[in-house]
This record gives sequence, structure tokens and C-alpha cells, in this order.
Amino acid sequence: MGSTVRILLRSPKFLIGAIITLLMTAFVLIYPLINRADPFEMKAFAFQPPSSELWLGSDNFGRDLFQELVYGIRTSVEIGLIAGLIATAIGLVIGLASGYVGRWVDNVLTALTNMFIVIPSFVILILISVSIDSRSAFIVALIIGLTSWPWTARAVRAQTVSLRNRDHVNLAKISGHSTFRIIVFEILPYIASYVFMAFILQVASGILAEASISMLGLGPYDTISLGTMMNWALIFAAPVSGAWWAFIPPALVIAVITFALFLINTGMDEIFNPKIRS
Amino acid sequence: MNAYTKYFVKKAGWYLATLIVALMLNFLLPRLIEGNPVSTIASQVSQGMTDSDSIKRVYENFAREFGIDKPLIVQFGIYLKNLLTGDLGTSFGLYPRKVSDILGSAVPWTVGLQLPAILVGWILGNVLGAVAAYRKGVFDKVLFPVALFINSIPFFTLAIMMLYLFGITLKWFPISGGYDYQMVPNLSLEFIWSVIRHHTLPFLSIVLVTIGGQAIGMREMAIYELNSDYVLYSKLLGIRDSRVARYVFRNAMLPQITGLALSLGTMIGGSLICEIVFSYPGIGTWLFTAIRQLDYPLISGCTLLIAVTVLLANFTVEIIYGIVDPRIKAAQMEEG
Amino acid sequence: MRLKKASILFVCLVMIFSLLAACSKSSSPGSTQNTQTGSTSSSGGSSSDSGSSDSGGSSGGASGSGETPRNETLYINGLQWGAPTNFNLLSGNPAFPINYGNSRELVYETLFMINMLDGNLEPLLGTSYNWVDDLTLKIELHPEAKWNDGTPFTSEDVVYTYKLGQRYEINWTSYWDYIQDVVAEDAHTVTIKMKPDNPNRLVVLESIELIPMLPKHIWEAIEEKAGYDLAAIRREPNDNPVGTGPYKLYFYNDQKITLIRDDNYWGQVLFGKLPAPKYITHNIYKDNAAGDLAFKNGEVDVSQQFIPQVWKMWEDGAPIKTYLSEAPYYLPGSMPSIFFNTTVPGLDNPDVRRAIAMAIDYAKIAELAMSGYSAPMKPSLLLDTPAENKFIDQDAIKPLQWTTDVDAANKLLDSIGAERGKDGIRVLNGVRLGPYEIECPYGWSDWNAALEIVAQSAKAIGIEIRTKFPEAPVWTNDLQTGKFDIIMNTPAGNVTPANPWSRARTIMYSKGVAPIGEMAFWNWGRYKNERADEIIEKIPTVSDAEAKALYTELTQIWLKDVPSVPLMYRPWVFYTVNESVWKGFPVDGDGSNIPPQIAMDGAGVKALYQISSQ
Repeated sequence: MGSTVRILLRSPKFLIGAIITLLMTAFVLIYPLINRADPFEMKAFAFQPPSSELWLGSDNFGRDLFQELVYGIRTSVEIGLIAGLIATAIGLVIGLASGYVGRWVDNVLTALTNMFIVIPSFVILILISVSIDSRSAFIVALIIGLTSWPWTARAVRAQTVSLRNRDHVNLAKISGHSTFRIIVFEILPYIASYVFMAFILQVASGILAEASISMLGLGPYDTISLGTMMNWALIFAAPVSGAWWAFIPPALVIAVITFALFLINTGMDEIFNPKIRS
Repeated sequence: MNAYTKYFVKKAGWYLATLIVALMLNFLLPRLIEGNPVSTIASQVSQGMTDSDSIKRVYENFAREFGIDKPLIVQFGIYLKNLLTGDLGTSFGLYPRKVSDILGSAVPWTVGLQLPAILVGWILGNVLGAVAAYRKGVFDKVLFPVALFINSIPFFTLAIMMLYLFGITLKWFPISGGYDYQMVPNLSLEFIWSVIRHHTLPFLSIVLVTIGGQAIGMREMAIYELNSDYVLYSKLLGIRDSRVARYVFRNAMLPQITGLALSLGTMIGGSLICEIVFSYPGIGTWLFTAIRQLDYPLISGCTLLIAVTVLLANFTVEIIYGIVDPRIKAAQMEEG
Repeated sequence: MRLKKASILFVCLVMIFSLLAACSKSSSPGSTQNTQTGSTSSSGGSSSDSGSSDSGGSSGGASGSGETPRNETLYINGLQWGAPTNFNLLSGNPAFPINYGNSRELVYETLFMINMLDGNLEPLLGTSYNWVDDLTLKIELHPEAKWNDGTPFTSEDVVYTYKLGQRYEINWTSYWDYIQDVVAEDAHTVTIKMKPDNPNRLVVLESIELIPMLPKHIWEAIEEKAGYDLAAIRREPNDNPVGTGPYKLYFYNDQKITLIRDDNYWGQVLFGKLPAPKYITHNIYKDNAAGDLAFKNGEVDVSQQFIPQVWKMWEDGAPIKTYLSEAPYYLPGSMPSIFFNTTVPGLDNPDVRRAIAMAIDYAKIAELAMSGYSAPMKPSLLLDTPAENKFIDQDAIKPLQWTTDVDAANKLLDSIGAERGKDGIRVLNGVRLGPYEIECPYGWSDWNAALEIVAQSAKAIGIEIRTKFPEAPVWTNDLQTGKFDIIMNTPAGNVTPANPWSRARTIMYSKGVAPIGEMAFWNWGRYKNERADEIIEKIPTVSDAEAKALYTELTQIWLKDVPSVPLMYRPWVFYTVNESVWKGFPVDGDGSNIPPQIAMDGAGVKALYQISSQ
């Protein structure tokens, strides 16, 4: 484990991605402790340009955009994390089950997975979001997680299938260990790094999905997230009013966070998949 | 080609099953929304009424006209029956216009925007990725982070930024619509020029993000191939670079084609949101209007169209893939 | 590389194909994001380049693409969102200029024209009206009125139009709850007899300025063709409407609707001349922003859109005017309010409701949400306008009216024993005051902003309110079935002779209101007060002078019980004009007594005779 980490640290991509992520996390966790202002407070006129008091100006409600941005990043990342966890968990379970157990379980689960990949998940995401009565950040994360697991499932299955016939697995089978024990102790450790990478990707796509769904007005009620900030900016015609500070910062932040996560993922990919090391 | 026919039939059957599931979801999910789809038009008709009973009667009349007073199973049956004759139903919000009519006018715009955008993005992205893998050096080091960054930006975010930068600040392009509102559609040069001008920004925003994603994938695959044994051996043998490149390219393309099929769904979804940002008169804008008004038939119609398109596209790609990749044939014969 | 060439060719083919397809059939989806409350009229539609039949004598000016000379055309926006589907008044979603509820006088006309400045009904198709006895209203019709196909307009048309409401469930059916019969005494006289057990003068007076007159000879045929089935009648597009008004439908597609003046218009004898614009065109914009930009550039002359910070436009030098030259720029016509669900624990206490009312920062709402277009809020059932002021004794209600006073609100809550818990939210008799959900439709930006302010204001007094912006049909459903804690809506938002009675009834009348869970169409908070019901039933039967005392008492009850809280004043219609092409629009203080009713509604149509272009 230690050697893995040391190798990772030598990869520039991983390093840059990790540093960006850590810095951002630290900032959004520490800043609210220093500045306890309420981001919901409407303290200025609408769409005021950045000034010394309001570092990013004000939004359409007259709220401090910088404060909102900090809270928004936190909410969006939280949603991304929860969605990522749920999606990875589901994908892991389904992938392992269908990959290891095989036979009819595999057929059913694979059919299910493929179906969910092919039917545009974003459409299902929208339909479910619209039909729910009250949407909180958690519920939105739940829905995103429930609709984005197929990728992980497929990838985990492929890995599991290739591991299924390895010697140590067969050995454990002959020794009479239960299926569950075999999966957890013989297969899981070998795909752990892969699963972690999938998790990172799921978090990134969770953040993107939250931003998309919130931008359409189907996001969490009464919450400040990067997506809802952009949504309000669009409804109140910020682009036409020239209030770039209302939507460009959240957009850039989304891009930076996902970029950092993708970097981490690519860095790890190069380490664990030697064939693509350039 | 028995094995191949088997492959074809198996795939077709599976896609059909998926289609049915998609149909059920398309039908069921919008109707789970709590709210009365009749209210948009019924509230306009009952405006000014003061008697509860008469207002209630208005609502009930419309509910009957729209056929939503029957139990769900019956409605689903009627829906399927109508589908077989090509009748997608009548819109609630735009009563009494037919859904197929509405969609028919929107499809050319969406197809005209997305098909070229996705294809161009895919081709350009793959070319760039392959070149980057081959050339290595500075080109690669610059291309990769840039492509990754652009790929991290969601479609619509790039769309909004482009709208703001090129449309509003620089005023190079118009900011909404499919063509100038003052014009009437005709085949004049003026009209075509107007369409192209309105087409550019949404087109570019989809293309750029697609390039980003494809370039990264292709680069990875190309590096993988370039490091494989047969390439090293060919180089040792002194075979010309361009000949080797052709084989590399072909081998690296295969997973990309599968990748295209799988990400088609996401791309179509993302570009639909693009349409919202630019108020482009395509399916995306209609879908969201329909959702806002709880217009079940129109929602189902749009989502069905999207699902069918993605399914068809996937099916086509898989067939092509099956023809192109000899390993598939072999696998089929093995499983035989 | 062959692949590349092939794909480029393919791409070109696809683009050409899509261009061709787009030419043959073009339609644009409607935008539901408008800030017009009450009517979210968004309808996509087919396009048919239908030219007019008879352009009334003068030709020229209209090319094949429907272009008309700029200085002969009056452009308006803000009344039509989405392509036109039909021009049928009975369909439920007719396109501009066919409309029910605003007394639009361009194609169809009403008997009398409402003037929101003084509340009077001015003569149009009807020359005079008077109450011959307690139950009978006699209306004299203009002897020279005629339909634009030449047929004379007679009392038969009036009777026919009213009775359509008796046969079918349409917009004016409910008048028959109060009307016994409509009789044609002679060719130019009509009497309306009210029901002796349910008379209501106010509502009858509303009907004579609201119901557009339809031609009997045209619609009898339509009825027969449709087999007297309303659903079939609704499908009639009626795209060459025969009305008595000064304009006829000339051209429409999904981008615009153009009307052409009928130079044989009967009203010349009434107004002394023809209206100045030869054409009136409504361009259909995708959203507010596009329409505002066009208006600022002088491409639109009259705008019914909500234009944020409108004063900036004339400060930038554009010749733009509003009716009032200073804040609030627009005359009030309605009061969007929040309604409390009086069955919810905590909100069932009038002191809690009053505290919330006192905590709300109305000034901030007026400034932030309404862009300053709302005068300072003086809570009442009545608008503070000349038309409604005469019905209330201001001094009697002043002591009960609340103002923004957070300290007093806190004291009130303290005095009834609502103590703050650890999280800062008060608890009253074991009931936590929150979280209460407050809702309005998503995308109605001024309402969204107002509710955000209400939620923040409530926080300051220890009541937790959370905002919720569902889709419009969901909000309508929540409203009607009572599935809400606090909800925003405009009670009786039109200017009619039935207001302020209609508004009071919508807010407070409890009879006919189904219990929570079933659909109710007024008093959605299920408020109940027997004395209020009594007063509401009495007002329409007494004279104006007697009504004053009743309204005052009713308002006092309302101020004490606080079943609803008005958040802002909103104009009936937004009236902003750009005088770069057409000059002479009515403004406040010009002595013309022409109301700011967008030059085409009610008495506002007189503006068309006053303006002139270069």
C-alpha cells in the first residue's frame, strides 16, 4: 500500500489533481468557520458588480455571490460524493455478482445494466426529478446515484470475469470458502484500485449531473449549489444584463473541480495500467 | 453465415426488449407527477367563473377529452394501440395539436444540429488524439490537459459561456432562435445565411466538448496500441510509418466505435440542454416546455423519440462493429 | 481518409436536408417563462401563411412575407407567447388579439369599455345602460353598429352571445348563476333580468364590459356543424374572425400576427375617425429578454412585458415613456398575495399570521422583485386607486393596518407565548412554527424573488419558512386541493366593476369551498368567518353608498384575521411605450382620460385615435 502511494505521488497528473482537490476542500471547509455570514441573506441590490465588499458582486436576489460560491461548492461536492458512493456501491455489488456468479444471474444483471446504459439516463433523471414532490440535496444525490451506476457495474464485471479463473481464486474455491468470502478476500483487493478510480469518476459525473439537473430548475429546493446558482442566473437573464459574475464563476469552478478529479483518475490510470504509460 | 445471423437476431431481440421497457418508463414516469395536466387549459377556460360546480365540470370535461379519467392500464393499452398506427397522441398544453405534428417540425432542427456536431466532433477528436499519441512531445503535453479541461466543462456551461462571450459581448452571433424572427422560412440565400448564423454557436459548443472527450479516449487507445508487440516488431522490420499507422489506427478505432455507441445517449442528452440555452427550436426545447406544462403525450413523445434514436444508433453501431471486428464473429461461433 | 471525406459529404447532405425540412414546416415552442400571472398562455402551433380575404379597400404595403410599412404599423409585444393555434374565443387558448378577461377591443368588441382611471363604463356597442328596477338592467345599443362583413349588429347578437354561456361551459357561464334571462326588447335594446333569489348588480355590470360580442349568423352555423358538441366547437380555428371591431386578421405565422384596419369600421361615427395605425403587429418573442431588447431598439411601440429597471431605458436616451413619469411608473391593478392554510397547526393562529405580515420587508419586495413598480404597501382588501377608494373609510382601517416592524412582530409572538427554541425557531403550545413551505410557480421570477424575501423576513422573527417552486400545473393543483402551508396567488386580478367585491370574495368567502383534499377555486386557505360571508352576500344588493360601510367592516375583519397578506401592487397590464415612430400616447396628467390599457383594451383603445406617426 505504501509503495503504491509513493508511486502515485510521483505522477505529475495525480499530484496536480490531488493538490487542487485538497486545496479546494480545505478552503470550503475552513472559510465558513472564519466568515459566518449567511449566504441566503440579501444584502445588496441585484446584480451589483464585484467590489471590495462583495468580492464577486451580488446575484439577482442581492446575495453575496462569493459566500454563495463557497457554500455552493460544498453542497455540490457533497451531492457528488453521496451520488458517487451510491453509484459505486450499486455498481460494485452488481458487477461482482454478475461477474463471479455467472450463469443466469449474469445474464439478467447484464441485460439490466445494458438497458440502463442505452436508455438515456439523463432523460430518466429528469422524469424522476419532476415527479418527486419535495427535493432536498440528499434526494437529488440519491436519484443521481440510482441512475448512474451502469458504467461501474460493467467495468467491475469485466474485471471480475478476468479474475474469476485465477489460481488463488480456484484454490479458495477448492478449500470450500463461501462465495461471499471469496469475493471479498480474493477478488476485491485486486480490483480495489480500479474501483477507487471508478469512484472518482462517479463523483465527478455526479457533480456534473447535479449541475445539469439544477440548471433546468429540477434541482434541490431552497438550497445553494453550483447548479442552482447558474439556474437563477439564467432565469433572471444575467447574461443579457451583462452580469458575468453571476454565472461564469460557478461554471469555471465546476470545470476546475471535475478537471482535478479527472486528473487524479488519469494519473492513477497510468500507474495501474502500465500499458498506457507513455 | 449462421453465426453472424445468430448474432444479429440476438442483438435485435435484446434491443426490442429494451424498447418495450423504455416505452413503459416513458409512459409511466410522467404520469407519476402530482399535478393536474388539465389545469393549464382548464384554468384559462374557467377564468371568470364563480361557481365551483361549473368549474369542476370544466376540469372533468377536459379530463375526459384528454382521456386521463380512465385507469392507467387502460390508458397504457390505448397508448400502445395508437403507437402502432403512428399516432403519438394529442398534446394537452397545445391542444388540439397532434404530438407527431409538433415533433415532426422539431426533429429536422435537432438532427441538423446534433448529427453533424457529434460526427465532426468524433472525427476531429479521434484524429487529434491519434496524432497526439503518435507525435508525443510538446503537442501531446499541451493537447492532453486542454482536452481534459474542455471535457470537464458540461455542454451547457460551455454553451452559456459562448453565448455570453460571442453572442452578447462580442455580438458576433445571434443569441436565440433557429433563424431571424422577422423572416419567413423560404429557400432564399438570406434565410439560409440566417440559419447558419444561428446554428454556429450551438454547433461549436457541442463539437468542442465532444472533441475533448474523444481526443482523450483515442489518445489512450492509440498509446496502448503503439506500445504493443506487433508495432515494435514492424518498426524493427523497417515497415514504413504510414503503413504501421494504418493498422494502429484501425485497431484503436474499434473500441472508439463502441465508445461512440455507448456515449451517444449522453451526447444527445447534453446537446438537448444546449438547445435550451440557445432557444433552438428542437426537441430539447419542446421537451422542457412539455415538462413545465405536464403535457404527458408530448413528454412521452419526446422521450420516446430520444430513446428510440439512441437505441437505433446503438443497434447500428453494434451491427457495424460486428461486421468490422472479426473477433466478434469468432466469439459467436465459439458460443454457438 | 475515405471515411473522413465520406462523412463530410454526409454531414453536408444532412444539413441541406434539415434546411429543406425546416422551410416546409416551421414551428417554435412556446416559452412558459413569462411573468404574466394568471395566464401562462404558451402555445406552439402550426404555421400557415394565410393572407387575409378582404383587406378593406386599400392594398399595397404587404409583400408575400407579411411585411408592412413601419410608419403604418403599430408593434406590440407581451401578449402572445408561442405560435398561434386558433382564434376561437371558446377554445380556451385563443391567440392575440382574441382574449377573454381584458376587454380587448380590436377584433371583437364589448358592449361598454372599462376605464381603470375612474372605474367608469364608457359606451361602445352599447350607448347607455340603466337600472329600470332592482332586478332589470336596460341597455341601449348603437343603431349604426355592424359586423365587418356588413351585417348589422343587433340585440339578437347580444342575446345569442350571452346564451352561449347558458348552453355550454365557457368563460361567461357563471353569469347565469345570477342572470335569469337576457331579452331583446327591440332591435337596439336589450334587457338583462337578474334572478330574484340571487341578484348581483356588480357581476352583471362586469358582464357588459367583459363579454366580447359574437355574431349569431356565423356561430349558429359553427354550432350546427359541430353537432352542438363543445369539444368539436373548440376545434374550430376561426382564423378569419367576423367581429365588430376596427381590425381584421391579416396575416399570421409562428413569428408574428398582423391585423389590418377595416376602413368600413362602424365606430367612425362614435370616435369621429378611424384609428391611426393601418396595421397592428404582434411579434412573438422567445422570452422577455428578446422582447425587451427589441422594444428598446424601437422595433416595438407598445410593450406589455415586465421590463426591469425601465427608467434606465430613457436615461440612455430612448424616447420611452410609462404612464407615470416617476416611481412606481405603473398604475396598480391587482395585489398578488400569500394565502395561509388556516388548517395547518401554527398558521391557524391569527396572531402568528399577523406577526409574519409585520415581519415582511415590503419595501425590499417592491424594489428587488418588482423593480420599484409597486407603491408602498398599505394592506387592505381594496386598491388605493380612485376607482376603489370611494368604497372605504381609510381612517377606520388605518389603526389595524400593519407595516414592516420586526420588533413589534417579535413582541407580538413573545406575548402569545411563542418561545424561541435552541435553533432559534419559536414553539407555540408545543407546535414548532416551521418548517412551512411557501410556493409559487417556477420561473415566475418576480414572485420567486418575493417569496425568497418573505422566507428571509420570517427567519428574523423565529419562524421557519422554506421556498418551493414547482411547475405551474403542480402549483395549481396544490392551490386547489389545499396541499400547501403558504401559497402565493393573485386574487381577482382584473380591473372590473365587480372589484373589489370579487377580490374580497376570492379571499374570504367560504361557501362552496370544498374541504382540503378536494378542488376549491377560491379561498384556498379555507378561511371561515360567518359575518364575512354575510357581508359578501349583501354587498352586491345594496347601493354604492351603503356598500362603503360594509366594505369597511369587511376590511376590518380581514385586517384582524389576516387570512392573506398582499405582497405588492402589480399593474393590470404593463404599459410602456416607445415614441420613436408613433407619438401621442396617453400619459398621466395629459387630460385625455385615456387609461394605460395598452392602447387596445377597454377605454385604452381610444389611444389609437390619438397617436400619429411621422
